Amino acid sequence: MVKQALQKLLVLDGVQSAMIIRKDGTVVGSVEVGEGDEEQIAAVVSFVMAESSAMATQLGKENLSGIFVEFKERALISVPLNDELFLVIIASASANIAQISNEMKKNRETILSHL
Amino acid sequence: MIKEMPEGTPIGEMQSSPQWILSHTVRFHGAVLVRIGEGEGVILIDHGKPSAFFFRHGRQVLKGHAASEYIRNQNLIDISLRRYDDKDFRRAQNFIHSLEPSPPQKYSEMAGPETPEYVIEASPVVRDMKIPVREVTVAHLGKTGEADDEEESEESVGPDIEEVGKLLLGQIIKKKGVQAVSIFGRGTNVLSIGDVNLEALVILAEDMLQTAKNISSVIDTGSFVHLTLQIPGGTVIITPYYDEYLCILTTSGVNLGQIRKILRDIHANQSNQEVKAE
Repeated sequence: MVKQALQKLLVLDGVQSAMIIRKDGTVVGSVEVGEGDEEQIAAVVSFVMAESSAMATQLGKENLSGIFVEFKERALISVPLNDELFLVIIASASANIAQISNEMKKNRETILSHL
Repeated sequence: MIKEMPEGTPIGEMQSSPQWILSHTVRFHGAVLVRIGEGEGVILIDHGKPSAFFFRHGRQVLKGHAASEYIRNQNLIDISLRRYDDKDFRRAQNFIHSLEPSPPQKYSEMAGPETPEYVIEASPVVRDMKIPVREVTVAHLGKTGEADDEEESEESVGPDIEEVGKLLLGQIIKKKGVQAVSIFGRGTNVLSIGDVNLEALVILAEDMLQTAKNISSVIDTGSFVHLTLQIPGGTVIITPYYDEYLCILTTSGVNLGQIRKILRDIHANQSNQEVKAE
């Protein structure tokens, strides 16, 4: 069921893979991510999210709305689903990031309901 | 603007009060070109000390005290900073000395603009921040002035990171929704413009960048361009900038597309320079 919910995001232009990870770096579900890769990606992303949350706190913000990491060829977008889980998308660098972010936020409740 | 003035090294353009300019050019050596309505003028600053003033509007020319007083009485003026070496500075001095002031007149006769009150109102994202809000600051503005005593090689055409940085910072801070911009590295703030002190974020930002860059070790991403943190009411954007980093704080009203374009241009320039260096 989780995979079905994530598949909805894969139809967006430029989206290459999607995954749900826990704060501790474990993978809850993923689509189109290589098995070996997903654990490594989840581990790194969970670190980035932890550090981003620390920075948000430093800025006086308790909640982090999301992060966007852009590389020359790919982009990574991560938004919190709740206090424990993050939804992570890997997309091509030319993808419409605003649209993807909006869809991620729009589908948050649906994804959570499938967990 | 005032074509007779030496070009020097352009440092940036901004809007400010005359008081702010004079208090933030402590070690600066060069010219502050000012524009007030249809008129234009110069404040020549000799290693932090204002040494000559002039202002002209059409055929009317004010010099010295009269020009100083006229400029200082404005609330907000458009300025453009040019750093000078000693040769350019002397040329600028000679130009100003060569001008004949108009007969004594009241400043009110100069057709000045109706300048608005200069009020920096912190946006909600800044007001809510725990870090201290400070007045608009160009840190280390005078730092280049210290180097003026040293002989500069005319063959040295490579980019001066600090100078380029000042231009870039000025460019970014002018974008709607941008609250503060800073260049930082190795735990310290190198240069900053804006109404928020980003110093408190420096160490966290460096750690975060290092971790984010690790993503490219697990998936094939190409080189790192930037990281954007979305927080309620705004964003924090961090990107490598030569050997340092650039941090931009914005409200939610910012056009992220414009900022991303500037960051991509920076990234492309850096890559081109790296290729040339090889």
